[in-house]
Amino acid sequence: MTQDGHAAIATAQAFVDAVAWGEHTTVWSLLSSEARGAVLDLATRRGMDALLAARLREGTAADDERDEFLADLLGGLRTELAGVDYEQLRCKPGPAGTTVAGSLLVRLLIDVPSELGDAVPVGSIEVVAEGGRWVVVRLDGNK
Amino acid sequence: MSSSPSRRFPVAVNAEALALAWARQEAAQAGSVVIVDHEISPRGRLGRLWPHPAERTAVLAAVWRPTLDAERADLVWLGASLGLLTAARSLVAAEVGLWWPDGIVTEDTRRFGEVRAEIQLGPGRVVSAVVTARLHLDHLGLPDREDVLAAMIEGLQEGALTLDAEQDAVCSAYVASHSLTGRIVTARLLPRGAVRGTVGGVDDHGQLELVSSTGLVERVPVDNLDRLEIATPLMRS
Repeated sequence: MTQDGHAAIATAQAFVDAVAWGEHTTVWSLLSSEARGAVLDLATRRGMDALLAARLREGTAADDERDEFLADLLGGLRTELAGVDYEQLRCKPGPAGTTVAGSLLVRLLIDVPSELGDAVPVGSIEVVAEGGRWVVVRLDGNK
Repeated sequence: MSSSPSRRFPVAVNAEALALAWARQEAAQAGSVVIVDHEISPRGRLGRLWPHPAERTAVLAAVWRPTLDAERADLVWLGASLGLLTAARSLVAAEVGLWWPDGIVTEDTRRFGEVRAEIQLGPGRVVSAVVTARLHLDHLGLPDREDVLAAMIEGLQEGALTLDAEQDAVCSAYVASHSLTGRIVTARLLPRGAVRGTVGGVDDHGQLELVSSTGLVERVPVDNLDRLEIATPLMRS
């Protein structure tokens, strides 16, 4: 695996860990700027106050506003991986991503007994290099 | 032993069933106690079987009629746990503590006691609760079951009084004796999922508070918990 591949895997792992452990600000910091924008756009379409969305986008929201929003985001991300045993998850590099140029897919796998075959894919995380580090573009669960 | 109204049975399905029947069909007064010497089906929270033999178990069920809003009904679990803890502490010198929401544990977190609360709700309030408490006699090192039962009755009466008089004090007392405070745990949820974090305390509704390293507080209601585990490291590539 290349150095970039290792860094991409590390970012995906850190993201899954942060989702599992409720590290809400870490989750937010690991999202790409495009992903943050998409999350806020979706929240606004679902009724979030536009001014609050702007404060969250700019990082000027009050702590309780930010915490409430990020708790909801965490809930959504966990729903995406519902039923997945985080303790058994491992990451494997995949093909290039499709959402943004230059992105990579990281496969999320759970090992099964050898007689049952290969590891089972349970989702994927798309990561991209942005500002000199890898960040998360999207998380997809296999639902 | 206390002067609470009490009934005793040599054998029964379990103490809770008889106390529930007493409360529902004969309007048993608050503090009424059912003692069963040998339970055929000793069930705890989520219907889980009590793992210790009947002859080495002290069990009773008490009828409580607390003045509680329905949304704070889970405080009954905490009040019952504190009552049983009081009993256990009066019987053994060793350090004992609580394991949210239903366990009494030794210093090294071996479970030797448990409570179960069957709560009857009316419009916006708790009508009654049947609290079942069990202690494993071997962990207490006391062969006399009668002494243990007497201590359990006293302890549960104290728990009920505290719950009626000072609900906030129940929460703070519970946190003070909680073996998991400050420990990193995984809360397995029902029907699925998990929440992880450091155990902070319990809120004023009796929910467990798990704090993440970034300060997010996630709350687990009693009904949503499958089990609590001391946490293990997560994903590896």
